[in-house]
Amino acid sequence: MRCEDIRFKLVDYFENTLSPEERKLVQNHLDTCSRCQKEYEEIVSTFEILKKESLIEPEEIYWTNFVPAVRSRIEKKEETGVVIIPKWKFAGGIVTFFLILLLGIFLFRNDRKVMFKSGTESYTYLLPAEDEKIEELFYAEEDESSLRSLITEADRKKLVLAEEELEEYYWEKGGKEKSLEELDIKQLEDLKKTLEKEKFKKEIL
Amino acid sequence: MDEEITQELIRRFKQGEEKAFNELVSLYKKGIFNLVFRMVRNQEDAMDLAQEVFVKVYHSLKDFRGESSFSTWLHRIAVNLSLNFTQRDRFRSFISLPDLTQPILSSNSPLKDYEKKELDKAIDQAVLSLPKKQKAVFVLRHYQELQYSEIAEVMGKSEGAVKANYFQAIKKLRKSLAHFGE
Repeated sequence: MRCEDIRFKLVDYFENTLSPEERKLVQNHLDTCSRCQKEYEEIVSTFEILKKESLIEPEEIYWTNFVPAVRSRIEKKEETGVVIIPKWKFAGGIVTFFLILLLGIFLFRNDRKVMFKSGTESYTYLLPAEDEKIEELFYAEEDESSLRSLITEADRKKLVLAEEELEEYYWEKGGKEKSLEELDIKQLEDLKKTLEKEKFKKEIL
Repeated sequence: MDEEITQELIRRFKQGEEKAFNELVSLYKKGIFNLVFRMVRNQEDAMDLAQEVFVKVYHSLKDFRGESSFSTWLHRIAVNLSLNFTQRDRFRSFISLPDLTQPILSSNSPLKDYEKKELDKAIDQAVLSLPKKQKAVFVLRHYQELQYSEIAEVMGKSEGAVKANYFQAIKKLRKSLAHFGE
């Protein structure tokens, strides 16, 4: 096994989560490779530093009041959620506002659909930044129920699959120094294009 | 956490028994506080956010269909709220005032106390500057002690991707904290 592959396993080796065979492999490598041994010592030292971190515990009163505080927040949210009947002179404006909102949602929904329909694939690649935007929408704090209807769980799973495939490809290409989310848009687009080209090549060969 | 008790409480809550929700909150409150605290690294914010997590749970629990375990679902909500919070308040978290409640310092030596404070501060900064997915994976693994497979479910990623994120997070922390190991 190459040093690079061994190093990737060092954290799991330290946490004792490798299979006995893998553990032995790493152990044998560490016995003979001083650079990986040094890397391992640094990982051990990092975990020792992290172990020294202080424990933080709020005072007992916080825990005693926890449930009532949550209840009071729930009630407050419900109170602010009550719709006050508007005066007639505002009604026209409000109806127009909702019509525009509905139209916006309709257009937005169609726009999102295009993303999943493009190409002959069952899904198309999205950059993690795009994925993140959608994830933010999916988990948006307000009016979650209406947003859920825009992005279904199935769509979200497609996004996850697409990102995983891109991530795996990136790792195969040796991109272990940075994670996908740290690449800039240009690098991501190039990576996406190369992956698509290679997939196309595989298909026609 | 006992999944059977949890399922029973959810069933009772869905049938309209409000008290069951309180019991659910009591069961999970400490774990969730610890999770959000390690994510946002500020006690006051974490105390506030932990309660917000359960407000969100209250409003969504009726639609919870049990496709994943309750604990996975709860962790996902807490992680997402914390990530959204850190994004919104990224600037604030770097200039925030010291916490009202400081960690209990056990030593009698002011120098040791000072060193410990410096170490805590350095760990806070190091964790806060991790990219968001790496930070979430690190917190779920290191502090919450979840298995890679559980983290993968919470994050909606493959186990391989989670391992990669954890590995990269440790690598970055190692760089940021190197001088404390000398």
